[in-house]
Amino acid sequence: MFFFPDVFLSLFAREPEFLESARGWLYVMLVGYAVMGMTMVMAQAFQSTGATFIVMMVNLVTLWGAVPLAVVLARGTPLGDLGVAWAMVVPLLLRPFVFVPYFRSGRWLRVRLFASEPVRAAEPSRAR
Amino acid sequence: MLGLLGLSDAVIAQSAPYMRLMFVGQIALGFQMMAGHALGAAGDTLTPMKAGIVVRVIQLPLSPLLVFGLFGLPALGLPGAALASILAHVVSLVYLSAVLLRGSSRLHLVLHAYRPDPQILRQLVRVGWPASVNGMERTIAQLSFGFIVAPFGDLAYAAFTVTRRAEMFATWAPWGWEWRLEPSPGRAWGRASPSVRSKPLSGQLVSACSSTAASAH
Repeated sequence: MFFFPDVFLSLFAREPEFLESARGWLYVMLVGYAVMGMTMVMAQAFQSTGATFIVMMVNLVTLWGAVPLAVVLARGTPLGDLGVAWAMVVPLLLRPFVFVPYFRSGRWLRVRLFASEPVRAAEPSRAR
Repeated sequence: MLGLLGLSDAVIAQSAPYMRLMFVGQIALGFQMMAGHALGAAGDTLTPMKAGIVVRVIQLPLSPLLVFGLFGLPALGLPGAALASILAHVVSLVYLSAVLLRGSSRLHLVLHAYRPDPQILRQLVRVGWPASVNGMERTIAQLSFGFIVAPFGDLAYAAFTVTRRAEMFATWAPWGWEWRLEPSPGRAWGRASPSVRSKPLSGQLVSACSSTAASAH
């Protein structure tokens, strides 16, 4: 998509105006896609062990912080509609700063999923 | 809803019937996802993949037939694409239900054994509500971004929509890792120490990050 954006975009429409506009959007979004895989897998890992609250809070704060940012960038700067794209990338870039330390801390592994489950002794995280 | 987004009347006229049908189809899609994730969490990621293939095998040829009215079928336009999607998901759901009810995979659904268990339900809600809110907020945020983009015209909105599609392409690889990951901590939960549960993740995180970057770029 980075090297041949028009090949991908032409799947949807071939008008030059569309390609010009969508190319800019795609380049901006690709910045965020580079780290998205890591955060997606981490979020899924946390959720599958029952640590759903932190994922919700991180997404809530980063995503909803991006909405006013989108308004500011789109209407208050020359970026125009591309300002929205940049604002959408910000949460993707911020999440690893919370998820990686949380993963390293190992706290997500000690979440009690069911009340009947015995409380586990805390272990130092050996996640690498 | 589309009017609130500030889309032009022409776009709304095309999209509204499609969206109405798709909302109805969410019932089949929701049950299909639930059944697929249950099997995936039990360690069978092959059956959900087959169910996904069933969807595409039906949806791909059926969509143009119903959209353009080929081979004597009615030309439904965009709603035809929604109808093809719903039919495909219903067939896929039937397939997954058959697997679960027959017990031919790792899970065997025994309906007569069902009974309400308030304690488990409470615990599921306690763990599940943040995940549900997470899904809802993401959808609402996407709508909000669409609302901000819409005044820039249909062209900008089309670019915004296409990058949503691009995101789906970029997340192919991590989706696979997510499926792979789902059973790992869960299955290790009852018998292993936290450090053991974290082990499958170490390599997967590196793989997920690099594979997403590769598939996106």
